[in-house]
Amino acid sequence: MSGLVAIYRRELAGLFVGPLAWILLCIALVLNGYLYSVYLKLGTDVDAAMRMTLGNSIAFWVLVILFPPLLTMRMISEESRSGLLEFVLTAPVTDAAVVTGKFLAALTFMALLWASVFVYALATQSVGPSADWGIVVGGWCGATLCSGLFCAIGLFMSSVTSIPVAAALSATVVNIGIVILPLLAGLSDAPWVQRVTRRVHVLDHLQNSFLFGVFDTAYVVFFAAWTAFFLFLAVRTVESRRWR
Amino acid sequence: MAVNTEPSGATRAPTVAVERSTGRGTRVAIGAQVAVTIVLALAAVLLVDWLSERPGLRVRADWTRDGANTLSPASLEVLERLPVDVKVDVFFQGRALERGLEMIGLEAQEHARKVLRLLQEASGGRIESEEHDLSDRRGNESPALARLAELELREVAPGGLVVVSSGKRSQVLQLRGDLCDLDPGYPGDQTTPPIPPRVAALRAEEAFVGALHKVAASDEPKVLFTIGHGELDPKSADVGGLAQLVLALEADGFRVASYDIQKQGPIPEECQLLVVLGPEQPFTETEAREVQNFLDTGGRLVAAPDFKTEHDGPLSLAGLLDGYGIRPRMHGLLARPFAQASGEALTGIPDCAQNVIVFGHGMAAQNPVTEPLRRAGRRVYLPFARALDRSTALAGGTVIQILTSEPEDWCDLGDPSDPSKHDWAPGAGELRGPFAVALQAVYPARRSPPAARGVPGGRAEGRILCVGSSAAFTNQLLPANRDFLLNAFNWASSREYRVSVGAKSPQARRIDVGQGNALQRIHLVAVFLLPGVMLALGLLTAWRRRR
Repeated sequence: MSGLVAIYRRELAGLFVGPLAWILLCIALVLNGYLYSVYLKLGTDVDAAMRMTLGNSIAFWVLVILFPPLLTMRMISEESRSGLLEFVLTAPVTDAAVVTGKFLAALTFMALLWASVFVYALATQSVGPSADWGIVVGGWCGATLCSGLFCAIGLFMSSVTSIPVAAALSATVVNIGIVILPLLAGLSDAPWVQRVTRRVHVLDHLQNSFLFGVFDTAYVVFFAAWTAFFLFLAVRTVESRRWR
Repeated sequence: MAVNTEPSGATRAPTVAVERSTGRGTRVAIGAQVAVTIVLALAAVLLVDWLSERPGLRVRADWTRDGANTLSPASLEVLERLPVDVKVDVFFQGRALERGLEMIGLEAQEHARKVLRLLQEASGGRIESEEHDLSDRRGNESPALARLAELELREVAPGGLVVVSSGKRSQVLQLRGDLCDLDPGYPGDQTTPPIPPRVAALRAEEAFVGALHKVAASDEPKVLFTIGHGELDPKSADVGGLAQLVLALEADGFRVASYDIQKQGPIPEECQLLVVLGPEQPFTETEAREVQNFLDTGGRLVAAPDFKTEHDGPLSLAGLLDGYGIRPRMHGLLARPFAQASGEALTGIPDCAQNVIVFGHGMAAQNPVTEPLRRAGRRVYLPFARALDRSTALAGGTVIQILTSEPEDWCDLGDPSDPSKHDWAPGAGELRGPFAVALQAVYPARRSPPAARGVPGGRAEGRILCVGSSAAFTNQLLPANRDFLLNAFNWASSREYRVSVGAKSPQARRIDVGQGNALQRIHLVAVFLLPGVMLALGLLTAWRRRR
């Protein structure tokens, strides 16, 4: 456990000491903030504007698809290329702790990014109607869980290759695939295709549950289980270096 | 053979052992082991995911402050007892509502989708829903239009509709009126500030549960259309026939047949609703007695007087209804000035008789027949209508006026020498509106109903609904009057499946763009302040790192 905490702190410090995290945060917040105020200006209900910011808009999905790969692309691949990973792996921490620590650092960044909605809600409440805090908190939980899944995918891709750009690209492709697969499946009339894709419909799970202020254990388990699966794959990939 | 040397200088074991441990067989074994663990992990994920969706293991918590995601106990009870599988087809049109209502229309659609989803999740798989994209055309085919045709619907009203069906039964719910009430607001003028459009009430839960209840109901009331007195023909597909109405009633769960009392004898005991539309001749004494006996024993009646003849004797329909508190005025037809494109009102043309339309303000509020129409801003078309008067109601009974015409209407009496000839101009001796054009009578049954008819609602109660215009029931006007007519038949046969679920009145939590600088302040915080703080922290970190 102490190993995990040490890795987590090291990764978090690594993220925020470098300029990349701050630049990404700044860009994302400008985009999110601008869109939120535009939604309000168009006369959208405050709760609906919150939902747009946290999962009902294309901007959100662009951020959630692109940011995790950018954050995680260097986490394992760069260390693998520089030989630092071998050093970490010889330290008295398990491979799972290494991967989980890195994942938690990336997840913290994403959670921080989406936490901007609390500031929006407070700012809105101070000058006008109050947003439904159930929707704000639920939406934040959903956005964070969804980002966690994409961070895990990014980390897995980063463990597969030693080229960070290749890791980011492949993770982005997988993320896009996960998001649009159910939409493409809509073209098929086969009921089993619909049934299968409905179970892995990330958009649906986020938009029709968390964004309405509903905390549904089925969807929490869905995100947590698939995140754990990709982390498991990443651990196995890292572990495989010992056999080579 | 390579020999490794430890940093301390000690000699390590030769790498022969290492080469043996990572030989081909070992690699295959490790690969197989990894593959098996990955497959097992995948299986575990799928199992956990599947288990998490089991009703007994699933926990839902509604975090919203007004419980917006929680179904009412009444709805859950209906779902628990739902005896059949139900299909819900959603045909929503993105921006088809009139200008200014598009955004709130989308909000209402989103709410309806959410409620449908909640119902689906609570139904344990007995409700299946499908949303159809009306803009989706594959080649020359449109799956949405094909499904609409399958459901015997020809068009989708602005905003869209939802069809709840089970087997042959179906219920159509319009977005506007059934699922929500939209207030178009007021554009404003020099004295009054503009009022933005808003969603006045969200009724999706009440509407869906009512429709579910109805399509799943096991009762099939027997409806008999009387024939043999020149009534409108239930089998005719002509514009003046009733074939479309019969189809609509059957889709609504009624069993429909024609009945000639003179030839076929007494009205069957299982008949719950008798329909007499536009009889040109009076009944015989036996027939009139039979109808009275039916009504006195809790039988239900939907009736409309004929507009060609003026029989009002004791054996006529008017005479029969008079005994139950309704008196059709058989002399004269209602007419309304015909508005020309120039705005000038025109009289003296037959179009005046076809121009009798009842608008929302002429419909009774809180009445199961008219309330949904009133909310939706619908109209009821009543060409060649007779005015209806209230006569003395039966002891313990009531007569309620549910449709009222406009004040500018008049009762055109026609030529004294030939009442069928009208001048369609308001004369000095002709009464002016508004007139009652639909009345409901409810009264306690005078005698016990036969066992086969049953007692809906546990009370032996008679119900009569009389509409001033028989033409309102015809094939020509069914598309326009469908909802009114179905509501009327359902009320008459005690099938008002309205589950009492309070409509949600959404609070307009919006920033008033026109007043104050609230939006500018939010814009400042969201676009400049928050990203600015991040930028400043980044610069500070970079500066500290450089030092």
